Amino acid sequence: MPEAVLEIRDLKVSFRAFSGTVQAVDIQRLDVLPQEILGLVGETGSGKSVTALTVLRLLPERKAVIEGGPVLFKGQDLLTKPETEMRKIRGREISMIFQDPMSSLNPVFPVGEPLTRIIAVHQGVSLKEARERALAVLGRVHLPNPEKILGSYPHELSGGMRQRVMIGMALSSNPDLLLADEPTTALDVTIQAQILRLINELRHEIKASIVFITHNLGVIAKVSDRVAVMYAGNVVEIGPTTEIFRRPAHPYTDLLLKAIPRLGERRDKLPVIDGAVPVIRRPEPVCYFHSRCPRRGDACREARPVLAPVGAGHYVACRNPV
Amino acid sequence: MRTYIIRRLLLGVLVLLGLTLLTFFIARVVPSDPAARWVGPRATLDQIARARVQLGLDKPIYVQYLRYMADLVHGNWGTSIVTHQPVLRDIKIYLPASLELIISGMILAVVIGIPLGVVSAAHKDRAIDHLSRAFSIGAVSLPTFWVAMILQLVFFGYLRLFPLSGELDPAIKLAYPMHQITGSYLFDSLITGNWVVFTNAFSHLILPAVTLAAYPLGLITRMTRSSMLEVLNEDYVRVARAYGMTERRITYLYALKNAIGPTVTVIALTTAYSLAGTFLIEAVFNWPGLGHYAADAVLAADYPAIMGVTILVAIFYIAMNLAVDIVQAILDPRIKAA
Amino acid sequence: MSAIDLAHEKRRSALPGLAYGFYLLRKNVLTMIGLLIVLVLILVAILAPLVAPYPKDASADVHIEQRLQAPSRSHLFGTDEMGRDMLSRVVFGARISLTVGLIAIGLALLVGVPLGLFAGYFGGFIDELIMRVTDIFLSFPPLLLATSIAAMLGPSLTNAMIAIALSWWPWYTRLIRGQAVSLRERGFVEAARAIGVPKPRIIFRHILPNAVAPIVVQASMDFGSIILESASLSFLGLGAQPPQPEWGLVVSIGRNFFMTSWWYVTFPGLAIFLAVLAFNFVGDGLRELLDPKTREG
Repeated sequence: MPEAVLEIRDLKVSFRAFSGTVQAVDIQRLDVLPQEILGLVGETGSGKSVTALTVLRLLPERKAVIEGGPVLFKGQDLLTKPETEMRKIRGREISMIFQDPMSSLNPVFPVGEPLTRIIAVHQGVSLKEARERALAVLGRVHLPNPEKILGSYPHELSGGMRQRVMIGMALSSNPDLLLADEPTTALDVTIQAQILRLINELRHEIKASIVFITHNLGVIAKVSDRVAVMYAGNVVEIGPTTEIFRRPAHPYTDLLLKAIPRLGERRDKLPVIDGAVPVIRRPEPVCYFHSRCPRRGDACREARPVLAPVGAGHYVACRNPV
Repeated sequence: MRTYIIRRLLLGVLVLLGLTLLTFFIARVVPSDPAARWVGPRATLDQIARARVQLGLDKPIYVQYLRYMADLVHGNWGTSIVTHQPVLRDIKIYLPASLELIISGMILAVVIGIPLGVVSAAHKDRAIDHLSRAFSIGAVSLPTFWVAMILQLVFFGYLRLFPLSGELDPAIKLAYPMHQITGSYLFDSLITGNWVVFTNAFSHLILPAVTLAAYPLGLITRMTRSSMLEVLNEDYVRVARAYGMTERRITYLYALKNAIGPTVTVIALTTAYSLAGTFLIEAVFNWPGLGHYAADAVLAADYPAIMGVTILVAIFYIAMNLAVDIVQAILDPRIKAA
Repeated sequence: MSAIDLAHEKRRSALPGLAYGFYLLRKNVLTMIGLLIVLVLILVAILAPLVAPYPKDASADVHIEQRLQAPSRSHLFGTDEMGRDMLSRVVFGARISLTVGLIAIGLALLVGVPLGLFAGYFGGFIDELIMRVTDIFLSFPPLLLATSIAAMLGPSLTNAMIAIALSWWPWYTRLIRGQAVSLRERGFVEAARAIGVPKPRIIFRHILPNAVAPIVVQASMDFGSIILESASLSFLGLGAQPPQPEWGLVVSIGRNFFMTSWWYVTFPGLAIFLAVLAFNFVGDGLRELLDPKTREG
């Protein structure tokens, strides 16, 4: 197995709030391999985005408590890096794309301002040179008339164009790792497909690893090489995409896949998973899915299941896998 | 955008009309007789009656109003009952000192208030935020007349650093007769390079300007803080962080440009209010400004002067509102599109 | 504070839960300090005859042999030109300022609230008319407006209160109008209309009670400014009259002596400042409490 670009070990993230501390992430182990697209799936609140923000150390310091680690990026622990070092990594070696391209772009600046500035800062070139490179970047994400776009304000562009700008910004300095947090969720279905195609195309050009965060299994099936399933802050299953879709091992993954409506299939009722993701105020040594699990046993409440191999590169954290 | 500004302008004219109507009405309901005032305490009944005709006070009230409005448009703003000078001429004499004071006070308030509000928001709930909030609330809680006197006591009475009051030493006024360009000693001496007058005028300006700055300073700090707090939670701020931009650049450029709008409004409105609203400061510092003139007019029931000042204040207020609209449109391109 | 409201007509949200609200208030050090000062102030005002060392000095007593004495153990704040104890006068001044503030706000609400309700409930021409009148009032520096009205009515404390109310009501009209407009469309009001409840009853029994919370909050936030305004009017000679120990008036008389007797203006002015500051600290906490954007989980 090639050495991973990103290795997360024993990472715990919790938030302080008026009502007490809430645990958002508790990952035993998660690797991102070179040049792969790793799909990170889970329901809202399962800790996908928090994981990405933790990697970039973007969580508000006063509210988020990060414990454990390390989080190794190319062998170096990101959690202990000083802020000035992190600033050099952000946007240059690790980039992030966010869900809503409208709110991601500053409404009172032309989109060229941040793009040019980021290129100038990270690539150490003059603003004039950065502008030339920014034009090239916009061409690379297939935006027509880059000159005009560079001077346009976000509200003058369409949703798809805005996300293309964001993708261009993310890839402008050829990062090793791209964290894409629901990059297509806020877009129309047809635009979604275009953006997915663009991401796929560019990753071969740039040779970056991509963590593709989504709650949409259909999207994951289309883009990712491997899939990691998150539930209540834990990675409960991870493996090659085809393997996961064909032979899901965790009952949660299994139920998720069964809940996808398929074309040409007639069902009177879509299956749903009863209950909701628990809010974890006090971490316990249990499987957090047990209350909703059709395959639960007494053991599920006694110890925390550990990720264990069930196939080639396929791991699951379950006492009683499917 | 253009139709919006035109609409605002028309609304402004409407407010102006209403205002003249209101003040005219109030001024005419004043129990004391303006005609008797005009001719003085020793006048005969006959003289009073003649003055009444001369001032048009014998006509029905709506005729008086229409006549007044026609005069206004023609630049005849009436004659002050106290100074016996045309109101517009009085205003021209008092306005420069007012503007000098307001502009310097507002510059002080803006230069300190905006950075303080930004720093406060960027360090929410920390010591510096508590301090800045205490400071800004303190600034709006100060009785200006009292601050003015305390400053006089300390800086004139004990330290002898600044003069007590006025806008120029009488001796200097006599020794250096100034050619009036703008009517403000500070600007005129600066333009003509008369440093003796300039330094003297400047030292006279400091205490009143500091007193005047306190209230807007507090407002600006608070407004900047609260809108910065909102903006700092926006996605694009997080995105800027995610792309390695420095905190300083994010706060002072990317966030501030989004947050400055409400502050601009506050600056404009307090400036508008200051034009005649600072009469307490002007009274304590014996500053020959418009507020001083207005307060004297009010206390003497000098209704042509009151109305003159009122109209000027209203025009200034409407103009400031328009200026705000234009500045907002420059700051935020979305307004232009709407 | 008025300019803030004008610039930023924020939607006021419902009050957060009591426990959470208290948690937020407690976190706000300044608000707690403000509350403390306000409580002390109220106590001092109520117990003035007991707190003041020389209660009689609050009125027209004269001890010419003790005139203009610097602060000492027997006169902590010094004495004035009549030899009266400044501390006693400041203590009794608290009574005047708090009473004037309460009455002036009450009067402003009495004018502003019904007008706002009518404007918001009826809409159309009535709305336009009332709101344009508020525009006119608001385009004028508030203190100058109050001064003009007070000057016309003649100098007295009662007239000063009326003048303040007349310069202040448009803020409440604006606030209440907004409330009434949104409440008008709510289910319970529509239902009342549908079953034929008469209009005045709808306005005062159905809409008004639901708009009370924001009114009370706004009024308490304004209290500091009102005290400041009444002190300013008295300073101009348009409010309280001698020998009343009103703070603004005392500072005004002190102007004749302050270069030689620093304590004369210092203490009554400080009293105004502290009272206004305390109410503004509390108001600031309330504002934060009501603004969901500055609230956090």
